[in-house]
Amino acid sequence: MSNKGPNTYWVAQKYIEKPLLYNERKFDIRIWVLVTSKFDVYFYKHGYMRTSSDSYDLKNANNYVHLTNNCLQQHGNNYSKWEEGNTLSLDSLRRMLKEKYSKYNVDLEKHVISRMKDLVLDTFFSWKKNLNPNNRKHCFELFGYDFLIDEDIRTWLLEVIDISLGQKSLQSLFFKGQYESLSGHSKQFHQRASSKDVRRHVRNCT
Amino acid sequence: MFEIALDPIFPPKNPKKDSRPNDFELIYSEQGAARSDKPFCMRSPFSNSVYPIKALEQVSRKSRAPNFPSADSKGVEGGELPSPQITATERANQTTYVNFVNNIESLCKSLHAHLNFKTSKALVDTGNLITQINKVLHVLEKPELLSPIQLKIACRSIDIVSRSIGQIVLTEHEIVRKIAALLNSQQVHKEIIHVLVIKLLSLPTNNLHNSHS
Repeated sequence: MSNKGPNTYWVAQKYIEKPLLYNERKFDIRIWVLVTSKFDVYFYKHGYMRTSSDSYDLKNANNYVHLTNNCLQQHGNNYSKWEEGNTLSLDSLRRMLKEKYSKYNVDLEKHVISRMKDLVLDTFFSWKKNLNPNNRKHCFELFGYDFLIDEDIRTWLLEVIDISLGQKSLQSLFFKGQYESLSGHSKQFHQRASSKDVRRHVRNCT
Repeated sequence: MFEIALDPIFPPKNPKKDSRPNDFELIYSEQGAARSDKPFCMRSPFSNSVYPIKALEQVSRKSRAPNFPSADSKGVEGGELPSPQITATERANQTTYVNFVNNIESLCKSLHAHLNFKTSKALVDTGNLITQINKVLHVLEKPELLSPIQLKIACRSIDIVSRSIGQIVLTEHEIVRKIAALLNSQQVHKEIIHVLVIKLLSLPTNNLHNSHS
């Protein structure tokens, strides 16, 4: 914080003190959203959980307990101790909700994913006028949405990141199991992306 | 090679053969969008609760409403005297009072926002300011029904006005009359006396002169 200049912007967010825990550890959910140049908004169904490495304790000030970002967790001593790459499919969450909240009949799609879609659209409407400022055709933008669920099954939006395919490899966008199932398609993508024209197109659009 | 070069001009030959599952769900589309005939939006109604499970819903933290006796209450301790029936006008007044009390914080913020950056009396919306101060004074009429925080906020509202460029409205005849009535009342709280007397005494005397001239 001290490194930031006096005129930088800050976002103050409420800290969610009582998040839903997975095996006593905090997690968030990464969802990919694709927005085309015609403002079609696509919600990628297979989001994934990103877990922290250590047990959650509000009094513990260790970042590895509270922050689930992969870029931070990968430097921790317990990274991949519980799950490979600290990531899990949404099926794990689905199972956990069924066991932990059997009394309330919690359904991931109905009670959580639908709320995520609402939050995606709210952010899309707020930012729409800034998307594709040059009205380029046949392009898209990919966004990473991070959600957190609290112990009351309320869904909170943590942040939205703008992914540039020109800078990140496809592998880093999906959790390991998911990427392997996509490897055939991703290979094709990489082959196509290596062509000069496609590379230029991707660079222009992202 | 020629076909590849001209490919964008012609539609794909077998577009429906590609039956691979598409895991991208379309949730919003405008008219003329590629994969949808008509516009649609999957946003749920805004009236839906953010808590999907009713049983787990948190109670919203609204400020404490004053505890008025209800119309059907059975009177004071011992039950000797039945409480008088509350008329419609009284009930309406009580509702207004509750609304003022519940909104005292936003009223204070509004006064602060309205007056804090004003550099000239001409920029102050006097009519609106008088209405807002009247609301604050009305809230202070029944200090026993306010929480300590609400009382503090109400007093702070007067303080904000007395230190701002809009202080002249405190010398308006109607406001002065209400302040005098408040100071005369038996339930007056020491915090209210402090803010009304000390702050008003510190007003420049030319305000009074301007107000009555």
